[in-house]
Amino acid sequence: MSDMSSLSHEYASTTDFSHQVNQAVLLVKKLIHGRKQTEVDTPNLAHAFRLIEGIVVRLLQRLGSDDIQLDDDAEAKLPNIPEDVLIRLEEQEQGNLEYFIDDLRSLRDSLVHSVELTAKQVEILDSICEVADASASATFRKLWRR
Amino acid sequence: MASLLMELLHDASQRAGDIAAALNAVSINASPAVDAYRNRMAAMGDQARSVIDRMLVDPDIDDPVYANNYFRDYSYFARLIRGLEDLPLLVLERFNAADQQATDFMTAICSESRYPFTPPICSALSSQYFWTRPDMDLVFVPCLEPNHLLGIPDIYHELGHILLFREKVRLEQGALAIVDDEFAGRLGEGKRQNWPAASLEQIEAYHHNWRRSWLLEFGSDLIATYLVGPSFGWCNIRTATNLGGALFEGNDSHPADDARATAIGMMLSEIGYDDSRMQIQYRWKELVDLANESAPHRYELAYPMTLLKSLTRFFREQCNDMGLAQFDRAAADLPMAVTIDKCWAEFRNKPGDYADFERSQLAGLLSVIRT
Repeated sequence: MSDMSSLSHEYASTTDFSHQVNQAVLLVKKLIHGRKQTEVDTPNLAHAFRLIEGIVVRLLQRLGSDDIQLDDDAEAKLPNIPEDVLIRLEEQEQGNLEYFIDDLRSLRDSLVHSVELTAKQVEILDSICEVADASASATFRKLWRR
Repeated sequence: MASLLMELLHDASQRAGDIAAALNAVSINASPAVDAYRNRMAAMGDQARSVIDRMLVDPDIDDPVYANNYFRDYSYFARLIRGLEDLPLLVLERFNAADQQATDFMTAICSESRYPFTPPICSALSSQYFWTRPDMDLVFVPCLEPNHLLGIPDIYHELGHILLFREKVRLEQGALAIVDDEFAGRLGEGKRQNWPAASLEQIEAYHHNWRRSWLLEFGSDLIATYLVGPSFGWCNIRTATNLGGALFEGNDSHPADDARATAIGMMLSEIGYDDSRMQIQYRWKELVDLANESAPHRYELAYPMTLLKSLTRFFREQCNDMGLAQFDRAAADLPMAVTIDKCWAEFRNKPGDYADFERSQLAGLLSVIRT
């Protein structure tokens, strides 16, 4: 009922999201950088790719890309990206939006067709992690009033 | 010499271990539910420590390619550890009779509502009214509230927050789709009618507020009303009055009290208490008149009635599908909700004599829920 509940709820969702996406990206980077697939835990890797693809699709939807057609079931399975993370990403890419959407489309294609990700695509994933972590940290600081 | 990250990880490992040990060492003279909670939180500390210890021996930890990712992982655990020390450990080391009484209320509410998860525990240490940390199953209440019943409907609201967090896909994502559809429609209509850019931006700003926090507040209110019935509407008037602030003004974290009162009324109608909705609405109007306030221009843009109605139906259906017990004044198996309802009825009929009535109801209720 107080602002603390709202902030705590926002923090819990954002820190969960931030942690999950960071773990997923770390696994994918390890695969790309030469770790054997067995060393990076195959079931977790499959989950990581699914999560990342879902996040990319959600971002494309949010940024107004019109080539995403999903049925209700597929739509419901997409991960939820906290609003603050979305707003921060939109602000970050504001002057660059069309290129960013193109990059996300190409990233999605690579994920769908299991093509090895390029350095630039990994950079995009890292920037999503960075924004998610910044959002979680900012909410945490508000909670602790620092 | 160790890198900064290694130093930080060693520090975090030690702190996580200390917190887990301190939680295990707390001597709790409380219900088994509280002891079980202590064990869960200690396990969370232990688990954080073991993950951090695994990071410390990870051969890739010093590889610059992964440095940022490991640092973010460290930050996540550092925040988790801080949270465990500042909240569950603080609460459990000082757990007293008022905390136990609030926790007994919560346990009874969860049991009679058929809440599908482990019940949270409560602490009467709050200086911020009622609030919750949903990921830690912890609800804070003001220190005297466990001795009274009129404010207890607000515990149902906090339980709603936890339910929304635990059932994110079913509840939050489903409701967000309704919110997105509504605002996409409004924006499209505004564009077709050539509204000024500032008005369109205003619609987008409201949409962001809904997505960021308003939906969670409305959702928690609607769940609470479904579970505890008219008492939540009466309590909402009291809370809106006691906490002060403009009745038609929302902010980043909370929608306007008036819009919340409207949504609560809609849920009351949905669950068959339209007569109560009318009485509460009448009182709400009295409050609005006393405060000499009125809805600002284009208030409807922020809180479309169609959206409030759709969300009310959505939350009613979801609560029903989840098997949650809908409020029923005649039910014999809802001692918490029914007693609170009786208290509100008595308070409204005889506010001057209410204190004695509440004391006897409280004693009776505690004897029922503690057996």
